[in-house]
Amino acid sequence: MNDKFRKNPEIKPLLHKIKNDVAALDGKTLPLKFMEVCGTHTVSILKFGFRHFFKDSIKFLSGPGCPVCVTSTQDIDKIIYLAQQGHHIVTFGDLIKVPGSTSSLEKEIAKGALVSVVYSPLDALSIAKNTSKEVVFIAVGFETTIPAIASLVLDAYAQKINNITILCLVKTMPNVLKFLLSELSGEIDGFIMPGHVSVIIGSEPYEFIPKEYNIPCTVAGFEPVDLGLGIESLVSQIKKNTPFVDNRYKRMVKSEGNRAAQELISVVFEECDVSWRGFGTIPKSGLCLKEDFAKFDAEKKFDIEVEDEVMQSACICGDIIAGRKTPLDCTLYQKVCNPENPVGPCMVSFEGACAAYYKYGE
Amino acid sequence: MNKDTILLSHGSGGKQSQKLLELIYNTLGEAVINHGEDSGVFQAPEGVAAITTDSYTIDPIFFPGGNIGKLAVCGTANDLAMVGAFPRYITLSLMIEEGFDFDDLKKILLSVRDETQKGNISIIAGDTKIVSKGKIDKIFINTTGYGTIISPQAISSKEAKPGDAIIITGDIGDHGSAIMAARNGFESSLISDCANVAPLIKALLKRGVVIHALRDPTRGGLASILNEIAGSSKVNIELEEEKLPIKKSVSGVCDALGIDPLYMACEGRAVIICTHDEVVKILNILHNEQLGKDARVIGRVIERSNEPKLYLKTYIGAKRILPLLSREQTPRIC
Repeated sequence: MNDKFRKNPEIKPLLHKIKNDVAALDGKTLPLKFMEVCGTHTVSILKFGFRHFFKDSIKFLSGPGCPVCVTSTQDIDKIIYLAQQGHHIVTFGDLIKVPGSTSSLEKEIAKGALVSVVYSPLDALSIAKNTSKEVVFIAVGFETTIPAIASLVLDAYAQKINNITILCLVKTMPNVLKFLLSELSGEIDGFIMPGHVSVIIGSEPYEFIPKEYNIPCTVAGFEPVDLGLGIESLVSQIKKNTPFVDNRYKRMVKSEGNRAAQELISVVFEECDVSWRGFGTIPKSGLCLKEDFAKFDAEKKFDIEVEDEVMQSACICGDIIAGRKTPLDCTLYQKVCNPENPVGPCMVSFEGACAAYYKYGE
Repeated sequence: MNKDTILLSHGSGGKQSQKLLELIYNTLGEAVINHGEDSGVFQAPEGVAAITTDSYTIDPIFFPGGNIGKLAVCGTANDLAMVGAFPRYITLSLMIEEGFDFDDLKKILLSVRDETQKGNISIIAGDTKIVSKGKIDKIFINTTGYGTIISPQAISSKEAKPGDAIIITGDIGDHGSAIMAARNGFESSLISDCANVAPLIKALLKRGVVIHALRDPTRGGLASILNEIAGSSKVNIELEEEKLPIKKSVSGVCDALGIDPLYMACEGRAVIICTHDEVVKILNILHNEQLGKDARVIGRVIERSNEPKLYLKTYIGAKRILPLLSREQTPRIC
């Protein structure tokens, strides 16, 4: 954290100017609708007070950028199934409380399942080396996390560790946005693109959005100044009617991204169709292990039996991820669903829209 | 190798127990009064007195800036100070896991001795229990503190009034983030603020300042105790993010772990709520003391309210609610 981007005295005048610019826009319905794709942006928007500051001028819609939230119930059930089979599950902490259709990892732990929480995928390797059990790393995440998962697979391959697999649930950004636009085009006035993902993939993959849909985009960071500059870019693009992909996070993001990380990903993974909570299956919106690494694929090594996805809850997490609704539209929010008793993943993950609304007092 | 660790027989009451007690008495030295009696006997001072009790468990037991022994003395002294009492006597109960290292126990006891001597507090009674391995986590300490009230008027969480200023005596979140960093194996320069604030509060009260409410923001941090004060006093309180003293290293660790320093425990800070007219006098006194040199006003009580809330005016000038969080954002840390 750098005070230059958080406590900068120029931030207030900048935001007031943006507010005035929005009010002076011709022929636009207010509030403008901006989608912040990344969950960390949702947190920043609430934490720093942007939602309240721009209440009448900009409505912020959360996008499909919280890795835990976009994981389907059926995929959660697969994790629970593997835990029930007695395998040693290694996971990021966020997943523990996410309810599947009948259980959660938390409940399985209480029944004796073996689950380790790690901060880095590579920790799974040392766990595997010290046990005779089958170790399954639950690979969720976007382009930001995928290079570290690729390293795990490559290390396991090189060191001939045979008791480790990954349950590959990783997803990629550009094609889900294409899918989202086919549904929501005309309803979104601008995109705040995910800063961390863009560090890896760059800003070029978003070029189709202004070209094909005439919608402004900006890559932005997460501090108040970063967000302010990002929003300023969107409003100015709307004002001039010149949509393009702006990069307001240049200190971190290059237009071509991080080539070395992209290379690492492409050695281990290939594009495939995957299922998203709230959207269903989207073509080429995720990654699967390449044939060379098939022996590390938990779905190939184990016979995983789960029921087909049935939506039976009043939870609107899927609609929230898709930008159709906000947490305040949910009848369960706060009353039934809270961080103590989360009904859906949006209330579990630190980056989930519902958890962020709750934590920051909405 | 057994000679270096505590065994169950050290708690049996026999010769081995004597050895343990000798270590305790020798280490604590003059801090202990009433050696070897079943109860501590003392001349009760006249006037109003206060008693508090607390049990301490912390992981890790040694952390940058202190250890469980220092925490057990300071925490109890601070609880007394928060009602306007000056700590005089403290009890010390040690619950120790079988196999605990003798040298570690000695280090903890030395901290207890140093803190009690510095704070002019006598250890008036004590107890030691040895518990089988695995039944407790290393060492638990219970302390009960006794102090005499030196504040002429009632200090209570119910006394915050519209217009009052909110003062914090130093940076927030140091203890909680130092513990989190130590626990997660982060290398950092973070140091717990663990300290006895009673002398600081005494300095204020001796000079006759009027304090409405006083709290130490321990578990749950600043946001939680101000929510409690807002609720007890039926008022709305507003903090200004710009004025909050948070070290860069603390925000750095909190950002990395996805936690909020406003909800992180402090162990050597006090929140003082007083009328606007008392602010200059209070800050002048605090700024002359090492523990209070960074004291500052961070917010105010805005109005009476039947639905009391704590608000945060953010850097960008927006206002949002700081709720009382139902789930602890971190594992239990004190």
